[in-house]
Amino acid sequence: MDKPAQLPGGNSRTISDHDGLLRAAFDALRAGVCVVDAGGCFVMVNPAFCSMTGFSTDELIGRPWTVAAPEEIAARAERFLPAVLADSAHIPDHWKIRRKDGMLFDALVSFRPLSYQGGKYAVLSFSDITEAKRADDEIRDLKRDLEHALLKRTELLRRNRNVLLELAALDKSNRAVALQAILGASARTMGVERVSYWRLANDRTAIECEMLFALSRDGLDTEFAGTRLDATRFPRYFTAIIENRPVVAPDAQTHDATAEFTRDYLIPRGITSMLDAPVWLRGQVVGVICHEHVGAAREWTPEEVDFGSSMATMISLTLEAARRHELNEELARSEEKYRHVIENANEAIVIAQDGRIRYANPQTSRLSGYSPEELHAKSFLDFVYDEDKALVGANYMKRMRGETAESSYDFRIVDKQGTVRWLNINAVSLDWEGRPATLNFLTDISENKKLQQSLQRNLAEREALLQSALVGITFAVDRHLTWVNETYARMLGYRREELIDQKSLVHFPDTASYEAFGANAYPVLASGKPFEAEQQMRRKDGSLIWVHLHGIAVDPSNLSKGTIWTNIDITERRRAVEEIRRALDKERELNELKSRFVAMTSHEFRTPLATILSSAELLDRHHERLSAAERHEIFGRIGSGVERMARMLDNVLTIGQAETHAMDFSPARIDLPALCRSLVEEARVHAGPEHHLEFVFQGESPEAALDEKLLRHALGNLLLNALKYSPRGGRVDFRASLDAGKAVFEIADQGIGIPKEDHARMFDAFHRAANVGNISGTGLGLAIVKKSIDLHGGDIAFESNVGRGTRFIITLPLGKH
Amino acid sequence: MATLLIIEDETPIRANLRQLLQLEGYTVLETANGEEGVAAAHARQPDLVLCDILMPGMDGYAVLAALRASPATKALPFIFLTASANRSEREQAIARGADEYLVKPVRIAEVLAAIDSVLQRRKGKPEGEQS
Repeated sequence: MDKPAQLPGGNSRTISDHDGLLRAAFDALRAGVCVVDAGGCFVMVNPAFCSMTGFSTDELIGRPWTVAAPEEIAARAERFLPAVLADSAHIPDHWKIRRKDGMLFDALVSFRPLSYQGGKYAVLSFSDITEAKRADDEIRDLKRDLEHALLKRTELLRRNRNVLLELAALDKSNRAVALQAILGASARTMGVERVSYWRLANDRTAIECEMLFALSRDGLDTEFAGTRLDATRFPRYFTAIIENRPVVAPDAQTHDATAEFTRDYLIPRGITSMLDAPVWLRGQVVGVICHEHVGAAREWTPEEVDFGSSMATMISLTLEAARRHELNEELARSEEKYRHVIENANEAIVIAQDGRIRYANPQTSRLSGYSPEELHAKSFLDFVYDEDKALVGANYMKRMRGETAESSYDFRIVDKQGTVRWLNINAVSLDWEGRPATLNFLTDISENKKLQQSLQRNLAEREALLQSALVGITFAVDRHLTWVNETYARMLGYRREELIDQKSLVHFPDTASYEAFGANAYPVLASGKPFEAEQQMRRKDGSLIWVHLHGIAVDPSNLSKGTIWTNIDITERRRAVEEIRRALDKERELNELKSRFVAMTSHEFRTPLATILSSAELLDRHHERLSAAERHEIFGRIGSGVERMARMLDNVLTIGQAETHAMDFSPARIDLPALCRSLVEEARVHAGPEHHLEFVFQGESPEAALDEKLLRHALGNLLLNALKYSPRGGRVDFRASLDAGKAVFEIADQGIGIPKEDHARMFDAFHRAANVGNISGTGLGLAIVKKSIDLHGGDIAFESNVGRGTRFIITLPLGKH
Repeated sequence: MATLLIIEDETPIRANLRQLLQLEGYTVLETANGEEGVAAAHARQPDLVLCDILMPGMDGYAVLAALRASPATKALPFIFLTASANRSEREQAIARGADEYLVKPVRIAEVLAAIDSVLQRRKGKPEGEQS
């Protein structure tokens, strides 16, 4: 506002003079307000009026009010204003106010008369309703568009519903036909180029296209079917499908679940948008229906998304229906097959209910000779042989009552020709047309029965034969005795019944021999060869016998069918063989002894004989040339030679007696120290000054009864041996001690010793150690020593090292003999 | 008369043999074991050796081998006088170079014949040649 508005007519009083507040309010009004005098000129305008019309206050004051009036009002201004002033004008609410620039704007107008201090004025006020009007227009347009869209969608839904209804009515028993109809309908309804169904592999690692409908060719793309996509390459897509999330991808190349298809799948096929929905069957995702749009990318409307899901449901229904159809067909085929089996079965198959035959297959008629009508006409028991009626009837009743009955047994019938036939029945309970019945399988076993009777006769004969056999016979299965004959049982001291079903371990001396026998025998038996062995076996009383076993397998390829064994007690035979072997050993020993004796006599007897002969010849040939002393000496040599031979003969005799246990043993009280001293003296004389023999005696002589001759022989022999096998100048120690009821003699030398290999045989007659060299000897000495000590109940032992010497220790009990 | 060396561990036999041979006119040397026998053969150069086989220490075969191994005694006539009557042993002794093998007990006439025969045979052959 440039300056305060003025009232017209020279009246200089300002509003502020009258009421400053009123003026301020006038200026602050948002509505445009002006006061027009009776002449139709502006006398007051407020700033809002100027702002809305584009005029300044000065441009308006005193100017006709029509500058801002719409043309139709301005045209009627002359009549219009007086009518306003008279308050009789019909004033429209909405005006088009003219701005200074000529533009019009919508305004809500009030034009009222005003009387002020005798003058007539009109007050025009208005507000700009351009924006409100535009909003109204827009709302109207929007409403129109909305109604249009609603109409269109309603149409779409109606169409979709019709498609769904058509598809729902579709015969889905043929999977391929139904699937093609669904895919085609979906492609056409939604205007999608490619609509396909993909099967999900059972392990959920891949999908395979079962069928693709191409809109442009209005048919199937059979070449594409079979295309396979692996989950490893398209993990996000598989995750979405398996988690049953529809994939709504307006821009398939950027969508989270489908972007991974871009390079290899989408671009080559020009696919821009995808709408995929998982297909479910009995709670499991089994596939996916894919809508693949080719061309400019498109948004998928909720209706389309719903429709896509409905198509998936439709496929589920198809899969279920097709499967059910297949099952029904299979069931029909199966029923046909079973009917065929039953009709052509070799067994008679009968369903019995209420004591009557409700169904009988053709074999029943062939078997019994009765027609089906005849079979149905009577109680089934009428066909049963009199003696078996009770058995069959009882079993039937038990089964009908739900009790346990024999499921398989044999009975007889009388066929139409009056022949008695044996049947084997296998019966089970079943529900027949809603009531209990029995299903019976009957086999004609008349021939079997005849054979069985014949077999039983044969078996009885064979049993008698085997029982009377002289050898033990057993039949074993898995090393268990399933049959044994009487001879076998007797051989092992059992009754037959005690042995049947026993593990054959019972006859073996121990588990180890049982297992070893099995390990040896069964590989041979499995090779088809018989197995033979001599085996020690344990009788019931614990005693052991030797048995010769001979086994064969019933079927070498399957040992569990059993093995047959013959068993002969060879204990006596083995004992006899053992005795013969011992006798032969003894004979061999004696022969060896004889050989050694011959060898010994050959050498050892010839030496004294040579002395005797040469002495005799010397005396004979040169008697007169020899002095008396020389002759005496020569006779002495003859005497020595004879004594030497006599000693050897004594030894031979003694050992001979010992071998035949005829050695004389005459214990008597002896003076043991005196005996020892005497032996030492003799040994010293024999050995000469070249050897040192030391003797020590401890203890007092008790009242001991010993055989002096044997003891002299034993100790003397050991002493002479010690000297004989010692080097010149060698020392021999002889210790004798008596205490605590025993006499101990030790004779130790520093001689050649005895090799270890000879220790065990040192007391054998005629045996001499390997290292004796040319030292003469008969090999009888130690044998006689041992026998002598044995006769005293004493003990002789030795320790020896080759080259270092030998120590003999004799221990004699000093008991009274 | 020839000089004979007796090697024999059995004293009575050795004594009887020495006396018998001496009374027959031979010069007789004697030893009681093999070692002394070999030494005596070298030292006294007898014309013939009468030797036992089984003796303590060096036996008759060892004596024979030692004599045959030495140039001085390798042709020395050598007779075994032994108690071993084994036929195979006799063959073995002859094979090893003994001139004769006599088994005890033996009559002196037989011993003398053997000595004579061996010495005669040796005389008919050039020195150093063995039978």
